[in-house]
Amino acid sequence: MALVLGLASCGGQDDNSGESGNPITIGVLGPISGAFADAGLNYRQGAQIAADQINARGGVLGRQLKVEAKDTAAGPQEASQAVRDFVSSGTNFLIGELSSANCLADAPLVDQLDAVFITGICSVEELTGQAGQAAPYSRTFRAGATSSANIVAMADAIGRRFPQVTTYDSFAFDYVTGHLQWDQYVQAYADNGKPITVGKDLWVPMDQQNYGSQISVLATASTEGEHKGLYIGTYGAGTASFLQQAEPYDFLKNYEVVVTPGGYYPVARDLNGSAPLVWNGYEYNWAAYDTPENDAFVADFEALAGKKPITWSYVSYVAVLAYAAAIEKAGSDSPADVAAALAGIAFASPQGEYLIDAVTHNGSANIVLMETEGDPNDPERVRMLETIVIPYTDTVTFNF
Amino acid sequence: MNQLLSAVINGVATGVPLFLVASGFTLIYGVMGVLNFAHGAFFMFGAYCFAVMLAGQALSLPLFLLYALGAAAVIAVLGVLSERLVFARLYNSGHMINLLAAYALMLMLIGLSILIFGTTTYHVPRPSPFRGAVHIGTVPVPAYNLFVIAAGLVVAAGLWFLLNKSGLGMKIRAVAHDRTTARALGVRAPLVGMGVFALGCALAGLAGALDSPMISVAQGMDATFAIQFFVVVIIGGLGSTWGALFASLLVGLMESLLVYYAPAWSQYGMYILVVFVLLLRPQGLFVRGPAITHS
Amino acid sequence: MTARPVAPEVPVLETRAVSKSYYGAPAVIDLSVTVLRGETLAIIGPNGAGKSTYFGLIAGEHATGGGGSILFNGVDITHWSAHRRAQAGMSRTFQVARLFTSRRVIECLQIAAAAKRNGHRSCLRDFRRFATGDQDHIERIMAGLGLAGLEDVRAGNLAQGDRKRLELAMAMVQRPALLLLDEPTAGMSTEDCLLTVDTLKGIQRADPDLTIVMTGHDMDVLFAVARRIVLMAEGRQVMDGTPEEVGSSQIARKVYLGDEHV
Repeated sequence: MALVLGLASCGGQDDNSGESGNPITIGVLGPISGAFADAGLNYRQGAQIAADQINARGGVLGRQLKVEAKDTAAGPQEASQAVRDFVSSGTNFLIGELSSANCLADAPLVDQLDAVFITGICSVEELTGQAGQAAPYSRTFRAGATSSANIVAMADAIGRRFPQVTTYDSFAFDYVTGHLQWDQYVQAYADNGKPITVGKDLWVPMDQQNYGSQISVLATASTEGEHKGLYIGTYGAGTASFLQQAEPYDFLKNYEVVVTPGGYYPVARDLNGSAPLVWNGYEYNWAAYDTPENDAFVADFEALAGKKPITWSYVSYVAVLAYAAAIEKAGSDSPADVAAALAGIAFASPQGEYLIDAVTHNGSANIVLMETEGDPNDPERVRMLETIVIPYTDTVTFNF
Repeated sequence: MNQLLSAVINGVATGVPLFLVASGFTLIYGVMGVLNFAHGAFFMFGAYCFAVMLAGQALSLPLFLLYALGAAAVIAVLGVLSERLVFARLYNSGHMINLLAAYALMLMLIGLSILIFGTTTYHVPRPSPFRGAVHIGTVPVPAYNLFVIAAGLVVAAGLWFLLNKSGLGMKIRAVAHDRTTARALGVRAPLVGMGVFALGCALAGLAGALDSPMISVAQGMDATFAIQFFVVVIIGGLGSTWGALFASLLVGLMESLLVYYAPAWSQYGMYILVVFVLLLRPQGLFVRGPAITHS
Repeated sequence: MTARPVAPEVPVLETRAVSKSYYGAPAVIDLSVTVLRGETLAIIGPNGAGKSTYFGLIAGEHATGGGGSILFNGVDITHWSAHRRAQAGMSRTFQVARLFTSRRVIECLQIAAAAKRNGHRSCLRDFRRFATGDQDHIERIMAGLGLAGLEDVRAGNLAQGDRKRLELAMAMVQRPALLLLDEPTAGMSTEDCLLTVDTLKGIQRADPDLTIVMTGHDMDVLFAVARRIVLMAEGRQVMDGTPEEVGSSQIARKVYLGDEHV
């Protein structure tokens, strides 16, 4: 662990304030170890790409950008400590975090310590203002989608694409967000006037990897041709385990549609060509945008990481772009000025112009719906069959 | 009835890798008095090595077994290195120091695994004869699960034979009973200790390899296992291989059956069992005498 | 090592000028003793004379300090570990009998027999197979030491006298060339002591080539069994003779009782 931290935060301490010529450091919070270490890695890489591109253009206010990361895998305690450590070493511009619990610990602390925090993945609503209400934390911003926006957009699009699917089985992580998202998904169908019935809903603890019993229940609960859908409410290694353990039963074909909220591309990539066909809704895939900015991002990311970027990489990239734009706009690197500049900022991004709402602190994150399956012949072993971008402006109407 | 059979087979299939890991752990404790906190990390390393060796291909059964034993051998070497560099110096330093050393070793191994294997999830395909499901009556059962059960039984039998019927096993048991007496009788206790550590780690590595097609081989997999095999050794008793087998199957079955019959209890059932055992028979179900004595 | 025949004139045990100090305080100073095959030697001396330390040096419990060497059948074993010496043919007993308390008597003896038999090359030989080969040997030793009939008793449940006898049996089962006995009658009743004397004499008769080195405080027992006594005082060897010579000497009285009483 010490080795990894040493490598990840190599580069020493830096003073963010004061003379030009000193680099400005962006602090990345996220899991570097543990089951979601891949998220932390992608955060750092996405941020690094942004920093490199900006530095190549002369930096921000004539100063170079640096990226440093700290491990927050252990939970809110470790996250709070990481925030303190960053701020005490002069790094006041923070991004990242995966777990909502960590974000909820970081946000008030960031306000207290005169820093700024942009998160892209933490989905809990209370971090920013909802339905036009003012943001609860003056220094926390969301350059990403809320969970409800994601779920509701998915339900809407899938419902329209597969109108005959009116029954769903579900297999999900047994935690607050897991239940919330499933309830939102079901509710969204009801709100659209096309309620779905729940067949089997199975819940598994987050730290357990053995789903044999649940899978055999599911395998015998469905038969082909029933117009049923399957909702997979796990993510990352959990989804990978589920699919691996489900493979011998070969029952996914019994479902007309299989959906999962959150990222599926990295899971499919790891399944080495055998990934089943799944619809997922998240904030990005590399083929979603046909813009020069996206081309540059994807090319640079692939050069650095050897793989295509995913949502985790993208939101970090956008967050650093946001900081760069805000610092330039504010003309200073004082956190208070930068935070004021972030509210209402507009800047260029791979998806076009990106806006952060001045009142709610929410970013104009699109929802990207993807139909993906494994392909042994593809260099990344994944084939994207269809990509649907649901623009932010449409998702806003879904919010209550 | 269908679901019961499926749950039972699943439970036993889960219990087997657990047994392999727990038996290595309990053997190491029994012979050397060391609580190898890092044991889950050896399990993870075994799975990672195996995944890298396979590189995503589905192998024939003989090759699959060969690679699995190869992974176990690599982990055995890793175990010997750990024993020589860490534990050999600490035999007389008491439980606390050994525990801390094992914990430190675990952290180092985890960090090393991130450096060597990265943060992605590795996918290990099942060997080609066992990719689908077998039907027992109308109940589909993954063929690979049955294979794992069979493999586990073979290993258990081999271990029993080694410990009870061979000269080496006799020496191992002598050192486990009383290290000083064994030394006075001419048994090379340090060598036996090293050999046992290697064997224990090899078992963990083998468990990792066999288990890898069924779970995600990724960071954090050592943690998911760690709690379970600690539970197993508490219930079965430290130092007892039979205890490890019985308790592993019990834990696997219980989890499996609870998930089917009482899902709300599935995560707690294990701990309730632990509480009962600690209250009624704290040394574990298969160990005679007081809890935790070691000369 | 015991397989190689050794010429009778080569001493079984030889200590050459061995010394040992603890934190600067000398416990054994410059002790040179030669023991020939078949001898039974007892090392005696008052408390603090250094006999336990000296015994420990021979057995491999402690390392010698500075200079001095120990030879076993002509081979320098000064730096050998205890288990290596045991493998080479030196079996020992302890003041408090060391047994496998959770195993049965017969199992303790089987383990003792097999431990010696196995080199690391024969790792996987069937334990039961060679245990039966030794079965006669074990039974004879059990009979000789009064343990017949106790095969299935748990070693931890034995009476004190039987425990010491079992420990002695475990050492004998290994067919040692040199038997080291540390306080062979410690904690025994008078009756048991007499029995032990008879037992040891029986062993001497049965195996005249066996060399025995003993240490302890029970003069009656040691003098009855040993044919040679080495008297130690303040870390040095003070006298070396037959039990009669040492028993009647002025030096011995002085060492034990102090100057005034001579």
